[in-house]
Amino acid sequence: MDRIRDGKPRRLLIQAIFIAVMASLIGLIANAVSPNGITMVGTWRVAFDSTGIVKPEYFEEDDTLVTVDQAMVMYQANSTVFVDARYPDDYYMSHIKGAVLLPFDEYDDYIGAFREKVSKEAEIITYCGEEDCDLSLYLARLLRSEEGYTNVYTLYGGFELWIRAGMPVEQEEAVFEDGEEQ
Amino acid sequence: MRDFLKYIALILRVILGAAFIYASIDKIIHPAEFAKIIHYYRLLPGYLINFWAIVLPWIELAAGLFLVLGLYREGSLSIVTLLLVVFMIAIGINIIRGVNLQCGCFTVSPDAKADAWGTFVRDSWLLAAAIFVYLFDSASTGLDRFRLRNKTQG
Repeated sequence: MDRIRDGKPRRLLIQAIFIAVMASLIGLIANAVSPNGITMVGTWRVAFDSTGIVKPEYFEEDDTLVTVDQAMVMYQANSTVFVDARYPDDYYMSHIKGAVLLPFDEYDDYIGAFREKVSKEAEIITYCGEEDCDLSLYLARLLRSEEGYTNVYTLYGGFELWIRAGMPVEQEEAVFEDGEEQ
Repeated sequence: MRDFLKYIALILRVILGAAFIYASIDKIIHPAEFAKIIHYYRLLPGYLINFWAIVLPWIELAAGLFLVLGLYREGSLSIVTLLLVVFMIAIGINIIRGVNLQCGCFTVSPDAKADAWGTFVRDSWLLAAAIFVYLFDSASTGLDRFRLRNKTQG
């Protein structure tokens, strides 16, 4: 009677529940005293429902969002310009493969080169760091209202979700005006 | 032959337990990162995400430890089997959705490679190992032999 399959189902269940409950209790106590501990209930916003993306409150009517799944399809069709709205340091560290840098906070310094590179009719997806980041949203609004770009979308979920979905990224070394690489 | 199967089951039991112990460590250290990964699975309601991120790694750790030691094998193997099935369903749903998720199995780092199919296949192997252990593992190869002996004597 020493094999597991010979045991009584009841014993198996009792043991499993006992282990799970004890481990959970230890986990909850450890979490309460750990400096890395998290709250029992997080503030996870409902990001998606059966109708698609649930827009956060700060979204406006004109904001057009694409999910990572939709962005993947557009990326693979190779017809979309991805625009990175984050700080240059973040961009150089890692960005969506082929993405153009246009930091929202240094907009004036970069928009000239951007205008030359990207036509007004181009299909554009702006993105920033994480799911609740908003730089990409503000950048998309600027590109529409100030520059007259007509096909501007914002990647919902940001670069983080793009990475987690296993999509292509690349690193780039910053080149300063004197030609020295960072 | 039965002895041979018994020792194969012992090896598989230790591998399975070690995999669960290893899998729990990064999640225990970084619960916030792990909660994010659970969120990206888009399966659990928001109010359950943090709770699951807190308790799951400790359940994995406990079940893994008991499996390696060969103590309370029935309970720990049931937990490991159930978790593997749950993980495979969660990954499977996301594969069907067309999302190649990072599984968050052994590391919660955002730089880890996303390979949903690879994870699914690996979990299938682990599940096969769990079934083998269920069929052939013997109390005599683990600490359960002392527990069961005491019980018999008592």
